[in-house]
Amino acid sequence: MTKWNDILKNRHLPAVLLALIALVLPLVLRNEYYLHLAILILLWTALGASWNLLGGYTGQVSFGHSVFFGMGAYVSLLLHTKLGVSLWMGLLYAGIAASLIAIPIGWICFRLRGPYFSLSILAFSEVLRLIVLHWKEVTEGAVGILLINSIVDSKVSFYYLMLIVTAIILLVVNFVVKRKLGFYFIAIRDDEEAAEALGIYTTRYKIYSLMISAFFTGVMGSLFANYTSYIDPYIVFSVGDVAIAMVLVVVLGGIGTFWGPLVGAICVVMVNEGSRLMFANASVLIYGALVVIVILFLPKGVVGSLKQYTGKWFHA
Amino acid sequence: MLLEVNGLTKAFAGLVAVNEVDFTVQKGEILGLIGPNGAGKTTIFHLLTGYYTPTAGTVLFNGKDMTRVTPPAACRLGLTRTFQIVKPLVQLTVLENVMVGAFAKIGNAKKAKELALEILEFTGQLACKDMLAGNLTLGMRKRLEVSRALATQPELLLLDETMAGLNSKEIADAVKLIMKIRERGITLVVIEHVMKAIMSISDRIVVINYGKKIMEGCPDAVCNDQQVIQAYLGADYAKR
Amino acid sequence: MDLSIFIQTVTSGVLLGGLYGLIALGMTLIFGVMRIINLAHGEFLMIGMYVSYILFTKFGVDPYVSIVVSVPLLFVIGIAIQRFLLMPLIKAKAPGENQILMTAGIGLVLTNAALLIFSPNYFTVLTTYSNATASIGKISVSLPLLWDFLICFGITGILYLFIMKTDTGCSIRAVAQNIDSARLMGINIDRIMIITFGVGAALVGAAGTLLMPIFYVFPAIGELFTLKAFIVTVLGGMGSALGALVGGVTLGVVEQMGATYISMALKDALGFVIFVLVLIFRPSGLVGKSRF
Repeated sequence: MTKWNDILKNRHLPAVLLALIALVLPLVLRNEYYLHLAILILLWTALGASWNLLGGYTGQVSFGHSVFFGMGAYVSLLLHTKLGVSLWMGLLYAGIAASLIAIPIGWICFRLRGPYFSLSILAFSEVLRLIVLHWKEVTEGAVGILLINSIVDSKVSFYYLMLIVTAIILLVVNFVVKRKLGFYFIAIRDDEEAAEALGIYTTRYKIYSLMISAFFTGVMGSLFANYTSYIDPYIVFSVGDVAIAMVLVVVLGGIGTFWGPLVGAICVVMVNEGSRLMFANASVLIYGALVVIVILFLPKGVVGSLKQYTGKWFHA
Repeated sequence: MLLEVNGLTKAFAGLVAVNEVDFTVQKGEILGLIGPNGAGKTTIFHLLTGYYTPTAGTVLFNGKDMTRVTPPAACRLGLTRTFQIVKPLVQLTVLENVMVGAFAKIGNAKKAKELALEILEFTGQLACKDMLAGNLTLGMRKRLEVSRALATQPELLLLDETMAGLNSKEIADAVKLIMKIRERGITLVVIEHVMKAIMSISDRIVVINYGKKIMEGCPDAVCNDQQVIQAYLGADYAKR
Repeated sequence: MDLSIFIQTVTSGVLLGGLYGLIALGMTLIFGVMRIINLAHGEFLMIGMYVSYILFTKFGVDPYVSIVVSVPLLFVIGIAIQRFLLMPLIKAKAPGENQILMTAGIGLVLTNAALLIFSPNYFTVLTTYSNATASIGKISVSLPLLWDFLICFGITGILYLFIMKTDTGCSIRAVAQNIDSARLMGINIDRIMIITFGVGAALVGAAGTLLMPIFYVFPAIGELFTLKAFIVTVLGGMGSALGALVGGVTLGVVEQMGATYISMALKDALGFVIFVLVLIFRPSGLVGKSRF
């Protein structure tokens, strides 16, 4: 019996259970629509976790991550449709491209702090959107890009691909926050002056954080493009549907917590779909109202509020 | 000579906060830096560690020019400071706070933890290593500032009022700790208002008033200097 | 290069910039006091525009007269939002991003409410003077735009007097400078924040009404102007009233120059280019840190 107790007390238990559930989910959910919802939840979990590394752990709240999402989506699809690069390599190139533009963006935007930073990065998203919109020879402009054959052909395969990438992102975030890099990120969040006194080059480490965060956001942008098979500048560089939604997922779930993005993603996808089914025309209105209500009553997010009661169960 | 400060000056839009201050620090000594509130002591720390850039003057640390250095670079060169208004990393534990300091010279998390535990034992904070820094008392926070700075393995440590607001028992402990730090081979510059403490630990004392150095010498000489008494207690008191 | 075209471009840029300045003035005031960026700012502008539109089409009220309705209405809306939606977050010591997200949520609600009420169509008001122009030599100026510019200056002047000469204004300045000291001085911070948010909303409401005779309104117009207001605010130096005007005029001139000499399509991108240049070379803004 003691053996069972050990297993039950193991702090990795929730993660292992979740992984098992995720693995068998497509066998249970035979319905395409439910599988679609599960894919959306994975998409937003991964995006939330990427954002959380910068916004939650490093304390640099970005309201413009759509710049990396859109960059990733466009780079992989353009490389594929124009130069015939495989979509699998495209996933990687999408991440690298997003990571590379993160360097100049970070160099400029990290001159600002707090809310100044949050929105200045949004301006870059708008700049990139305008460039994509008007550089028609290369990007097809507002017409967008249609993908004939996606990276995988069935919804189930797509679910597993999404699951693997999401799991990798969560594991990397977990790996990073327990090492020097993560300690430095949290130190910068808690007190920048103190961090400097302790030998931390704050701007450099903020850029590292931004680059990792941008890399995964770019990969997810590429996966999203594969999933929908169509992108245009208004979709992938959307401030409301991408950039602010990423912040929303993490804030609702619990900023700076490991499980926050997953919990937030489940809430956001459910609320979004629920209001769409029930209220048709007024769905976005109801969705917005629910956002307002949740922020009003759960200032620390779901996981943040739970943490106050359950203590160690969710580790920071 | 570990630290050489020459003609150090800092002017803010007309107000000269530090005015042509010279002093030196020898390896292994404890230098006390005293003066009335607003005299410019903390500004000197800001200048030495790159938080401010001097308007004029030079700072040489181990023969290296420090006037254009950034705060993290100063720390990595072996010149670490603490803050008068403590800056704990509130969402990390005491141990994790000290580990952040240790990472300045160590890349590996396990080794950083070993050093941090050793430092915490040295400063007597091992018992509260798993407490969140945000939940500590002021005395513990002040000591955590010192522990964290020690973990960066400095050659010269600048302590900014680590005793302010402590009770007499805590002050006695702090004095003991500073002496122990010196035994570790670390040189110290200490800003302090608790006169009894600063007089007992310092080898030499530099007195600052209105941004200028008005006196330098051993503790006894400083205590009996007319100018110093005047600066602290006013001209009337000095005449008597 | 034709000189008269150049002068024409600069003139209309300056005039348009006055309006941008007024839009940003509310944002910079709210930022100065509360340290948050109001992402529902453009939606407040939209409300001001719809108010003018309704009053004009249903009751035949002149758009310039409708300012006496839009300003008090937005003031009340602003007060209600601060009191019931933002203040609870401040009380709960929630981080700043929650407040920004809250304003984004409010913006979402307002946009979609407008969509349900007014449909996604574009509306304009056509007055007798909508297309009137005044000409000096070869330069012609849209009359409504000229009036807008003058009224913007008038409103900015009134705000300046309010901030500098009244007790409430003095308290607002105190809170903007140092909130903790202001609290110790016995200033009722909550009340000041409520008034500030109300005034900020009223200012942009006025701007919406002034914009109506020369522009068109549709539910999603807010996002565009929230961004413009943010750019202007950063250009001028955040939390500076003079900066808002300088930033507004700068953006107006740059956009008009871009539209005339480069391409109509890229004029919005130019605004961002200036924005990025200012961030690189003058992060504190063109005017710098002068508070109200």
